[in-house]
Amino acid sequence: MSTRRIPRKRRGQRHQFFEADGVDEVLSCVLRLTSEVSALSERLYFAERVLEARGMDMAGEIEGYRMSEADEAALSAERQRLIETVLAQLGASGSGAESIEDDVNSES
Amino acid sequence: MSLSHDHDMAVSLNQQDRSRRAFVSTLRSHVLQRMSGDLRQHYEHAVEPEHAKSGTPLETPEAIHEALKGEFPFKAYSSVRTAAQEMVFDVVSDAVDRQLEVLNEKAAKPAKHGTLTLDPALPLPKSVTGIDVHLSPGSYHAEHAQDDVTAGAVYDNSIDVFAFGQFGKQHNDIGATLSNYLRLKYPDFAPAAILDCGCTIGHNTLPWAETYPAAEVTAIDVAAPVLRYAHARAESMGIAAHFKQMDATALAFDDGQFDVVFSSMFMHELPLKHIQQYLREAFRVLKPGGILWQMELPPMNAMPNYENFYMNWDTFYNNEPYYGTFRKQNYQQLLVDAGFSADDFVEATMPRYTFVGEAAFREAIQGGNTFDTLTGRMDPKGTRWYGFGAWKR
Repeated sequence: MSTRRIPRKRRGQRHQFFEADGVDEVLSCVLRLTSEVSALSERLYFAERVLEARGMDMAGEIEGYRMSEADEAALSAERQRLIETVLAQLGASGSGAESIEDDVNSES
Repeated sequence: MSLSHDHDMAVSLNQQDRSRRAFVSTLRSHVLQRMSGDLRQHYEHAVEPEHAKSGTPLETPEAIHEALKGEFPFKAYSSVRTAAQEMVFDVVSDAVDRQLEVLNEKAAKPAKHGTLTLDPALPLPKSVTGIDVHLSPGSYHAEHAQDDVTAGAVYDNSIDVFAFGQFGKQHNDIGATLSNYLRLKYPDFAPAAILDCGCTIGHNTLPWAETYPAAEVTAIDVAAPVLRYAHARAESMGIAAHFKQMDATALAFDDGQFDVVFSSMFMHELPLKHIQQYLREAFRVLKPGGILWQMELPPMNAMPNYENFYMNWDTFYNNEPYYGTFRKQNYQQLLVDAGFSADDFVEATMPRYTFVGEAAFREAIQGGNTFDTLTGRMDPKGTRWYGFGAWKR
């Protein structure tokens, strides 16, 4: 659970610029995600420089690294997981739901 | 990007903080340069010609705003600019939140140079408490601990990200520019007492103490957390200033006490009736021979229509609701209504002192005023600040 003390959401309604509901908020989410991706890639950049300073050519070794079948499988699974996570709400709805219409309309 | 603070109230940043801040600054810069350029181009090449052709030319900033509202470049610019503004406060709050106790302890240290006088009974105006100004959660006044400086720390850090360096290394360029303008333009003027109204964290207060070392510098604000921070910041920089919690519309000073009354980016955050009260108070506390001298957004009557539309975006979408009304005023008339004489009105557009250096600054202020896309806007190509005020005879 977050221990933040400074409020992060301002009081009052956000302005809606795009007609369709939620577009502005989705854009905000995408920008925040991009910020995290940027911070992460900079972290990796620094990791490479730190190792370089200790005599390890991490960037070079990554480029020259030969992937094993196990690596392929692991990375492929991770890629699929990421895509499924990001696009979770765009797919077909989950199967197995039963109609409860009768229940809803039935009288006691 | 490297921004220096050189004061003890600066928060320590980890690498993730630095990366996230750099990203948001870059994003803001992209919105204000590239996306705003796209918007302008769309206006000039599509919207304006269409309206001219159909016999309904866009002759006011309001008409331009209405015409652009439904256009994709406006929606994209506005939506991304709003998101980026919200991100500014979010990314800086991480480090401040982690170091809240440390900052409050540092701020509680005994003063060596200046003073801090708080007035817990002071009623806060609705213009500060009613909305989160600039979309900043908690505005200037919210407190999260005893004797809290959080709002000041968030404000100081947010300027780093928000202004991507365009306010100068110590965020002090506006104060440095306006004080040095007086020093160079009026070399015989030697103020002994200077007042900064609506000072927040004192970033534009302190250059006055540097420009006029013999003067006593006083700064007021209604919000206690920013004043505590301002005082601690000034102390750690070894600069003497006296910070007081006070409302500029009801100054607790005697008549004729100050040689300079200064404010920066202050009036545009006030309702018109408070601006009028403040200016009357400024006139009252000035000595004869003193000057009211303030940095503000340029008035609408001096700027082209498109610039006015563009500049007034904030009044509609950035929780600065008074800004549009202020810019519509005739500034000279505002001062005349407050007691100044129309003949004593002074206004100037000035390059940024800490960016261009003394020689270029001195030369620039000999020329006339220039109102264009660089006036009153943050632009790496060369922002020009607008100042106005009046001498009290």
